[in-house]
Amino acid sequence: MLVLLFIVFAGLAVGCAVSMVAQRNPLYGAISLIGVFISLACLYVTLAAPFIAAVQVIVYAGAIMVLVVFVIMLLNVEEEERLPLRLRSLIPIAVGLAAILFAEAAFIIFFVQASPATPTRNISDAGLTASIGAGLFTTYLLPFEITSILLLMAIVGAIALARRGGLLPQDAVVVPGAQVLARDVLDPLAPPEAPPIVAHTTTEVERQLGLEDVRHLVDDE
Amino acid sequence: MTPQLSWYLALSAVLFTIGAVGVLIKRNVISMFMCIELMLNAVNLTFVAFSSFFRDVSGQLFVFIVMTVAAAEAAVGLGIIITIFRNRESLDVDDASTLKL
Amino acid sequence: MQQTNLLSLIIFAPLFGALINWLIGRRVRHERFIGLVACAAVGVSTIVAFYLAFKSDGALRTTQPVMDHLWTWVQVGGFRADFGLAMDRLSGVYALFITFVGFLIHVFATGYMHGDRGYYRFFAYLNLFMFAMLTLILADNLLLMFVGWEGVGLCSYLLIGFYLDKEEAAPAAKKAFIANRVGDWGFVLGILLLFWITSHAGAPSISFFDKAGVTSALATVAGMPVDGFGWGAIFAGGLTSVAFLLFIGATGKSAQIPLFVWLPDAMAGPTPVSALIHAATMVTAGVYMVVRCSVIFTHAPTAMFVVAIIGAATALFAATIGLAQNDIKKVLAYSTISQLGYMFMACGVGAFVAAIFHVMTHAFFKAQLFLGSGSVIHGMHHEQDMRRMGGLRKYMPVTWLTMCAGWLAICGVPIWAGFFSKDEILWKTWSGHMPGVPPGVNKALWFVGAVTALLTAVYMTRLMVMTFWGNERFVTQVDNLRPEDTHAQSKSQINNLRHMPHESPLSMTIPLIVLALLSTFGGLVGVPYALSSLTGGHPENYFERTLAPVASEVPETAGSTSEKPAELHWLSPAPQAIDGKPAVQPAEGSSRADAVPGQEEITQERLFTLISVLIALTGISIGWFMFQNQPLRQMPRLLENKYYVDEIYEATVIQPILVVSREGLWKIFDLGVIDGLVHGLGRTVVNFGKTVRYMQIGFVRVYAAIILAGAIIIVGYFAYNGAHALQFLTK
Repeated sequence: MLVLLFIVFAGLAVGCAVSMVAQRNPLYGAISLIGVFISLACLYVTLAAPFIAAVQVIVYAGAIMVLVVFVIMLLNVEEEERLPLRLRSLIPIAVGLAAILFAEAAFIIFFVQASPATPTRNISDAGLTASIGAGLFTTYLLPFEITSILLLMAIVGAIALARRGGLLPQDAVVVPGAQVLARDVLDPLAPPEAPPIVAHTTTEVERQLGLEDVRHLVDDE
Repeated sequence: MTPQLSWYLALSAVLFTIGAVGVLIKRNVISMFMCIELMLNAVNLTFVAFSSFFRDVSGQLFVFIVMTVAAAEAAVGLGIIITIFRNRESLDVDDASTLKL
Repeated sequence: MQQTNLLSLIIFAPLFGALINWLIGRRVRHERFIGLVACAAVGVSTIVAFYLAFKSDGALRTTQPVMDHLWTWVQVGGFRADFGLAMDRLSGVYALFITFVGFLIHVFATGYMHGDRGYYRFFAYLNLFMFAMLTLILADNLLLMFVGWEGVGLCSYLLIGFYLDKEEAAPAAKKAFIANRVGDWGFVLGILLLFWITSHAGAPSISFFDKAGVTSALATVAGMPVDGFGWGAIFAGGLTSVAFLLFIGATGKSAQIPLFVWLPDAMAGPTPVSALIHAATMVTAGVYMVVRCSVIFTHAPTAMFVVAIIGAATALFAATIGLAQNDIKKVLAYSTISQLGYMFMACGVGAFVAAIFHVMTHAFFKAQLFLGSGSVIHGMHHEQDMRRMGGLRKYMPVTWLTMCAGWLAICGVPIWAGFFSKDEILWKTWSGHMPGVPPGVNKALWFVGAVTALLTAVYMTRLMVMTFWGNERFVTQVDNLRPEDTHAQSKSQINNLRHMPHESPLSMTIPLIVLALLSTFGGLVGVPYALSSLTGGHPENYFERTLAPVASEVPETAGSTSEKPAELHWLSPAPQAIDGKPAVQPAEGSSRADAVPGQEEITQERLFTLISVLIALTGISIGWFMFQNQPLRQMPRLLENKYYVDEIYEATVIQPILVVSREGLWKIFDLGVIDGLVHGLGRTVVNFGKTVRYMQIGFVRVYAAIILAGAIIIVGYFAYNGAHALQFLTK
């Protein structure tokens, strides 16, 4: 029975995870990720950790993913383009690295499984809310307090980020997909109100700055 | 037959790997962020599995703290993403390579 | 032995003269001053040399050398070389004629070089040359001798290239220096090997004489067994190798086959230079070295054989070429090479004293001939081609008469000097014996020498006839001459060609006269017994008596081992022993031939003398009849082009070296390997940077991939170690 539950929820989790990576639209990806979280919460329940399962649903699926969806809606994110324009060689590298990582994990798991110290049954009462509360406020009090300070820092940081007016002046022209750089960053002698540079490539920037005949040492990409 | 510890660990490894691949492959910043969240969850699963099988509560306490940190990170990270978007009008992470001007 | 610092005056006076001329003469630029300083410096050397030689206990009167230890130059372990001078009989004889002939040539040059812009430079170099040459012959060890050897090579280079605007002068100077250098390689190896051998024998030394703290290397060698005859001995590392290597040095300096090619080209220098350096002094340094080290050569029969063969071959070879040359100085140059061949042939058969005798007489008559030709050239306004001379005897009578003396001397007409020395060489070649060599070789060598003597007479007669007799070919040619046909030094002198040739001034004719007298009577010190017995003379002539104690005797058989040293039979008063050791050690296993030759030998010698006279007269008459009426008779092209020796060397030696250097060493090794290494290193660094720069390229995904890779490595490390630690759990 437990095995069946495990297989169902594990398959659901993996399926949603693959779907999230494969989706081009980030909104669909966010939905898939919620699916992963829910199935993981169910797995926690089967592992006799009801408190963590509840917290997972509330915090992850309910708060973090909502925030992500809000941001996606806010930024009006579009679908990703089909073929990657740059760094095409990164895909096989990524798959290779992942394979190596999985192989190492399998190696470790084998030893864990083969160890006689590993029990097979998992009926425990370590997941009850009471035990978690007991541990949190006695043995792990210090991490708890520090985490609360961390949350405070996150709040302050988020507010500070949201409050800033941006690096661009009010009348800046912004071209989608292009690099926009303040002129006084590139050229220390330019007055701060000089119009920003808009360009896709290094050569365009050089042309606009009038540095066309500057020799480059190496030029590949 | 009950699920063994190694099954849970293997599931966690698979989820982590998928997340790692996603981080490297996805070009949208928000998708990349979500894959990082997936990796964190895989680690959470490992902790809970160990805590359950070894009857130790500290695994779950660790998961608790990880979740808190993930929440804080989500807030600040998304704030940064919005700021970048405001400057570049693009959520393609390859466009944020100012080092290679 | 006696120590006297007067000896160093001989070499330092010319050095001092050179310094004065270089530093002061250059500012003053007064010809008389410069000439006076130069001639006075050499004059001082001459006077001191004569004094030290002929005083009551002088070098030529006793058997002890007059020595002068200036300072200890090198002393490392057993190797010791001093800056020390020694005048014994051999170097005394040399010093006498070098200083005297050098003095005469200096006087001649004051007249010859008149009007030249580099007057001070010429005399500075000439004095420097005298310094180096005198150091060479007065040195008491091989290393100082080598210093002088190099010094004369240097001065030869400076003086051959003296005319800065003459195109062929600089390459000729280089050629001389380089050819000498090749010989020097052999010389230095010989010195080193000698040191090694003497140190194996227990007394490491490269010195010629015994002194305080130094043993004589020659004495050590005299005590060693004679090497066997065989070609392997040359490479065996023993005395034969030493002799062979030293002889290579001699071929370079004294222009023998194969290194003679520089001497004809050296005629590009001024005529006094040709006379002094390339006739009388520098080229005889090789002979000096061989005779000084005669004890080494007598212990190496193979080397002596080689010396004799090369000497004879060179003599004949150069004589044939001299027959066909049209430049008056080139004829004399090839004649010098040929006569040097005679000297080496004499050394090769063991007649060292005869070789030195010929050196001395050759200095007289060859200097005479060169200075005479210089006078002719001067009088003809620097015309050197004999085809444009002729009938000069009524314009330059003094030059003509003095050159006749030199001519008769070199042809070997009695009683002129060349006759006695050449005849003695030929006789000793026929009657000598070389251990290990069949006697037929001696006869063959004599035959080569005889043919060479004939050819010498022919070409010298040709030279005289073309220059002084016959029709005057210069007048008719003057109007058709282009400026570049002559060697005139300035345009105004071309106009002078329309003037008649004139006799040279007194400064030039007086040395000619003195040398002519020496050429005529100078040989009388060496009249052999065969002839002097006709008039009741002493069994040993003056020259032999003087030089015999310093020349080693040829051993009876090759490979003879050392026994009790043979008793020397002295005709003159026996030399005093110093410190219980005799002044001169005889060669081991040799016995002195009977001092008084038997009657049969005397008859044979007289017969050969007659044959020599006949050869000389035949040669003169052949030359006379061939060229008197037909002075412009064409000689074989092969001889005129000197057997294409220069071209052969160019093709077989020089071009391959150039090609190997340019293509192999420069392009392949220097540019390819060395530069390639450096460039390759740079390129490697650049390529490495190109690959590694992807790590920091700015793309976040690349950063993420690197982080992942790093994490995998760390996890892998712990997994590996952890797994090993956990392995005991699975058991």
